Amino acid sequence: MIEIGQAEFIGNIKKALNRKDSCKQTLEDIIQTVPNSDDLKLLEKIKGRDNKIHAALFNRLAENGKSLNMVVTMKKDAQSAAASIARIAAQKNSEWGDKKTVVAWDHPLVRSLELSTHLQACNIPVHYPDLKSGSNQLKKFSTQAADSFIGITSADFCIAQTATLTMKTRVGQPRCVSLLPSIHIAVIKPGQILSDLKELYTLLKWDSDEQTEGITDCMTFITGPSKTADIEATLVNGAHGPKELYVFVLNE
Amino acid sequence: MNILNYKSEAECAINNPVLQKALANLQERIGKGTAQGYRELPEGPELRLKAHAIRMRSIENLDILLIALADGIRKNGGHIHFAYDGKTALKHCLEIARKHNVKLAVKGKSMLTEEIGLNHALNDAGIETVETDLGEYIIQLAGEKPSHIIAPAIHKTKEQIGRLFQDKLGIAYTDDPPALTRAARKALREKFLQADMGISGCNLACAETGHITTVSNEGNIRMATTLPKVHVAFMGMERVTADLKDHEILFRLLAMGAAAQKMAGYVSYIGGPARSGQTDGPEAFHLIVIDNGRSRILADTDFREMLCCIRCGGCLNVCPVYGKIGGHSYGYAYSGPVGAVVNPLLMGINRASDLCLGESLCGACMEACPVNIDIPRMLLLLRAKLAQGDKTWDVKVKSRVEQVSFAAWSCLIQSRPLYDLFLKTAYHGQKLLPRNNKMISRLPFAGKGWTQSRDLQPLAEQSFISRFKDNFAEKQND
Amino acid sequence: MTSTKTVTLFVQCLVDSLYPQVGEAMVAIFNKLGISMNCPSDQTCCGQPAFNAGYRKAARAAAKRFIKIFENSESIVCPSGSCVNMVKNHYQELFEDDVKWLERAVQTGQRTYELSQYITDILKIEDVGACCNGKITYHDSCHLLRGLGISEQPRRLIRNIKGAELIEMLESDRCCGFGGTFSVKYPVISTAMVDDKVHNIIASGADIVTGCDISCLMNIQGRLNRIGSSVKTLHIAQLLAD
Repeated sequence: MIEIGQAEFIGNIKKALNRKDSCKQTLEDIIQTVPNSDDLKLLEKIKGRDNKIHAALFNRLAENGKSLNMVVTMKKDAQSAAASIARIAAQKNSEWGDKKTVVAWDHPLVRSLELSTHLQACNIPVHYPDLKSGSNQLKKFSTQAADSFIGITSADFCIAQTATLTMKTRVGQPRCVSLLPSIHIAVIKPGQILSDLKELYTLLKWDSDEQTEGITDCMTFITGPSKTADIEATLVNGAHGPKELYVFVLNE
Repeated sequence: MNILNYKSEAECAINNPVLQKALANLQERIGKGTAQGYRELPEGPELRLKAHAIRMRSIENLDILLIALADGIRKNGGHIHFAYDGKTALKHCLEIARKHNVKLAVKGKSMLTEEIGLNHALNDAGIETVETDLGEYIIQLAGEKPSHIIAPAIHKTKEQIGRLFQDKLGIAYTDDPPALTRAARKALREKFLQADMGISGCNLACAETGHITTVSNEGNIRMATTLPKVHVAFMGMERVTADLKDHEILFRLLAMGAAAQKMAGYVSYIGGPARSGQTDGPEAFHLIVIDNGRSRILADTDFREMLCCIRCGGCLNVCPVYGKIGGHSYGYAYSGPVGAVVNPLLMGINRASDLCLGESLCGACMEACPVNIDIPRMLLLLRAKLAQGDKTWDVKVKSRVEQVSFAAWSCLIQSRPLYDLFLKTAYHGQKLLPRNNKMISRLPFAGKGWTQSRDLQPLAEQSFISRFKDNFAEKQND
Repeated sequence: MTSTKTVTLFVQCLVDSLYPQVGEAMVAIFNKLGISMNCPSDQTCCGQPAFNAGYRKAARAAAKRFIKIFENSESIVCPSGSCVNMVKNHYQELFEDDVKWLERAVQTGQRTYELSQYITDILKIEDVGACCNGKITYHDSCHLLRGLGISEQPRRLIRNIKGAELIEMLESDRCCGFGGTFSVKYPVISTAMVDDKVHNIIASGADIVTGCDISCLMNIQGRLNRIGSSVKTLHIAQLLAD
């Protein structure tokens, strides 16, 4: 065992790279630190999209989602999305317990669905993370998520090219909602659909709001429901994460 | 570390019809799917060259990138440890486990932890360590080693897995892959919810933002890095890239190389422990950056390119040799063409000489590589070291007999009259050899290997050069 | 057909000693096309066996000899993809630290062609007026395909053979398991690979398997003969000469 610290570890690499001591480069000398004209043009393009373009992106997203067993549908408003969620909740069985419960993000778009009202009819409680509570209470939410059969989130973006949802972790928007329940439903607006990953990375890198927030302690990309092909290369959905994934696009 | 038994393991694999079918199936589905996927990329297969350039640029600035990554991780409240060798990495991990009083660890698939023997070390320390990637879980239950970087249990049939689960999980026998997957899902969920420590590898890190990334299709790594109170990530030092936007190309190509997908199921950027007010995520995040022989590869510009590898396993899915001998023959964490270069460089070129020599140099791996690594070039260089010896890499000459033979060959081909004399002698000599349908059916000495299963065209009585002189040269002069 | 072109024959050592009929077929093709030829009688081997086995010094000596013999030729044509790949691509690796020889290697490499490539790409001929009755399947040899990027040229020539039908086998681009010394040092693996190849050849229903590299064909033929198959193995030059 050879125990060395960071300086010596990096020193070895410098030696391997044949670096001169005079080399005082830092990361800023290597990466792009100012957006170029292409980046700016792309940012403009994303911001300047109208309904027609969003509709076309939606169609591409829905098409690309199909082969991933990911259901992408347009909903005319929050009411209709909530009704769809209630239908799914009524039809599907609970996987991890007898009782059906739902967990959801504390997020304006998710709140606008008024899920508690819609799910009351079938007697399904909806749990939101309780932001005012102490840390023990916070931890309890994970247990609630583990017992739930549906998790409802929004997302930051959804990429049409790959059918990928992207979400940063924020207070009130825990990771486990898109992970522990058997069914994950994400609700987004048409303007959140991007064309491809290049647009996403351009926004992450150069959009001022994104820059300010950073990519948080955990940013996740989700493409389709959980899957595995580890047994004889046969595709099976629902290895550890959700078995089903729905994206509802609220067109209002 | 394993003692390499390439030839006998290979023979075993070739004589195992179940494995042969599984390997053919894998290569047919994923290998061909990947090739098709590259062709369908908006940028075409040429995108791989761009990815190669991105990776090379990162490798050539590794010192700067690692410093930036370390600063970023610390700024985000995480811890970073640097381990020169595997043992030190294990020590760091065990210390973290002890500090947090860890009893149960859940693991995402990581070839690096396989390389350093992490599971063994944790088990020895009394920490139950559960592999959570379905394929890894299967082989852990079976007490075997992974045979593929991405599909570790590809060598097992659904019937074998059915019996294994019946035995180890106490479920009724089934060979239905969805039912088997559900059984593992249920068993592992318990572990995820109870575990104190989550262990992952790292696919790519980002120096600019101070994040590592993890990739999976199953969601097991998200589970392992979200639920337990401590997350320990292991990263080969070469996995860091400079710029966040580098990831756009690399993730698309990684998914394509690994599983013929446009994008992997889950990609997570992890930059530290959970922030206050969050309901999940670990309380502590540790990144262990490992050298373990990599700086030696970095120092040799002939092999530096190998550090571009992002361990997608794409080369395994097309290699005709891997397609016959499977992963276990390679005797080390990495199998297939990538293993044939990386294993000798990490474990010793003489020790792994069979890996350098036991390839047909067909070049399919390079076309399948998402970052276009020239594996055949490096295999040839490794062979040169074995042939002639090499001080830098402590390589001893592999075969003096072969060395002498090639020296003789070299003399022979320097003089046409001498060469002709040799051909003439050999022509007469071969009359003593047995024939099958006019072809030679048994060769002596080194040629035995050929005629074990094949016949050989005998030497012609008159060489072409001589015939040309006699028949054609004159005619042309007329 | 007449042409002012002259080709210099670069004869793969295996063709020279084991399959002279392939060389003669190449001569017949050029005669038919009215191309004049010369064939340096002191040539031996391009050095590929030594290079692939790691004996770079011996390979370098062979390469220098080759360059000296061939560097003043207008066009160097060889009935082997892997030998051409050696001269065109690997010679540069051999001389990367020797500017003078590197230059000579590059110059020589630029004028070196594989036979089917020379006929289609340089002579711009796709029909050499050959006849052959039978179903033919084509094996893509690795260095020809991946080193030189040649796959369509030989197929076009075969399709234009009168009476012949080109049938694609499954995985025609998969290695046959030859790999030089690999086939002798690792016979079990090599045999498993050639068995897959032979299986695909037989399954294609072809009467003849052909290709542009006699080394692969020697391997395939050796296995076909051993298992008593009636499929004939012929180098593409032999098909085009008739």
